[in-house]
Amino acid sequence: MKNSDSDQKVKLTDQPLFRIGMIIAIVLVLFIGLQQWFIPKSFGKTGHYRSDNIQEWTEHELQYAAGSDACLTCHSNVKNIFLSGSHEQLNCETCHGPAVKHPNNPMDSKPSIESSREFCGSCHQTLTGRPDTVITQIDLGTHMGFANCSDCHQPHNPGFKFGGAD
Amino acid sequence: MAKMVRRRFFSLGGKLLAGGIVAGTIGKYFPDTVAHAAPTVRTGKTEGKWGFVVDTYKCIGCGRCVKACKAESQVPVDQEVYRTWVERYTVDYDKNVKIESPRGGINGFPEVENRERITKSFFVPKLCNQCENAPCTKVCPVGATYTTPDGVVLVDRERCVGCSYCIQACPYGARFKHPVFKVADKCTWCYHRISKGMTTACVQACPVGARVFGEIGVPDSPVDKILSEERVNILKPEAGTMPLVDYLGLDKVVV
Repeated sequence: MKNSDSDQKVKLTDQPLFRIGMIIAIVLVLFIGLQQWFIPKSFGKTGHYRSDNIQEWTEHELQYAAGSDACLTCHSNVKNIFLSGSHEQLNCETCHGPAVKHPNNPMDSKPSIESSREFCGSCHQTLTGRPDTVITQIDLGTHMGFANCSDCHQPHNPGFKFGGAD
Repeated sequence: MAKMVRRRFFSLGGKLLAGGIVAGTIGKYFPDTVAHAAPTVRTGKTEGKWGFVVDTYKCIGCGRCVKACKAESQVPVDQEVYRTWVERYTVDYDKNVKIESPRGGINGFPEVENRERITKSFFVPKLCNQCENAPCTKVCPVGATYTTPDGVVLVDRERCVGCSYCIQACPYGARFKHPVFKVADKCTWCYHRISKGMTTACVQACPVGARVFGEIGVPDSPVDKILSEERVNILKPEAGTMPLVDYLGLDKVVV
């Protein structure tokens, strides 16, 4: 009887244990809440990283197209001469630059056309370290003066020469 | 009497609560120790891992790959940072080895001064090796860099805090701080392309086929054909990183 009397005297909210319990509960709720807030949703699903990021990387914007086939469906005038020459192994974009936007917007997004001696020479100039078994090489300093390469060579099939040059 | 029961109740409840919090927290921070669902994100072909072969016998040092890489992955062209670059090694009569990579080789290479003294010279294209035992992913303090289920090491630009630990950890120097995004950046093997069944931009731009990309362990894959028929080597085997990039014709002077 005496015990239950003393219980009724102190209200529940005034009991020290209750107050400590409340403080612990608030800290716990804050901790779990902040943890949920700061850790991204997909983190830890497949490892110690945010697995949604894999999907994000697959959506990165393209600059280069899938290959030359798409180009040759429209540019059929180039197709035969290109596929019959030694440049056949190249992709169009190797020389013309990135062109994935060109098919949808042919007038505004034009790939580059270069025929300068320096441009062709970046592959064909003789150079220390450049294996001559892999690519035909010439010395730009002595080869045909200052003429543009495309003055004599058909760039899509460089073995074919204009104007009877040999 | 009632007080004693309540005390025991609180004591037991407190212990259970504390135990639960500790167990839950440990489980949260060590996801590998608790059972978790199989990877849900599977992009591209996952039969085997992707593989990359660089043929140093074929590389002509034109720099088309460097140019293509910068365009495809939107790395500023005028900055001295490269996801892939080309090095030229020249060895002369006195066994002096010279390694050069002017602007990553993006505009090609100049002729050497005393060509007649060179006994051996060749080009070596470099890129991220997508190591199976990658040191860079291990040092990241925020879980921003990781290996995907199909074996490519990627950087999460949202999570990266730019501390550059991974840049120092890479034994190949393949990582850099992106000048625009201010986060760690590196070659992703064009993850946005290979997951769509395309090849990487550098492979596509290479005029001589010095770079080959494909799956490992699939019989008709060009990479698998080389790996099973040719003598290949990896860069810095002593680092124990187990790279997925193999080199044909790798000389011992190459670092």
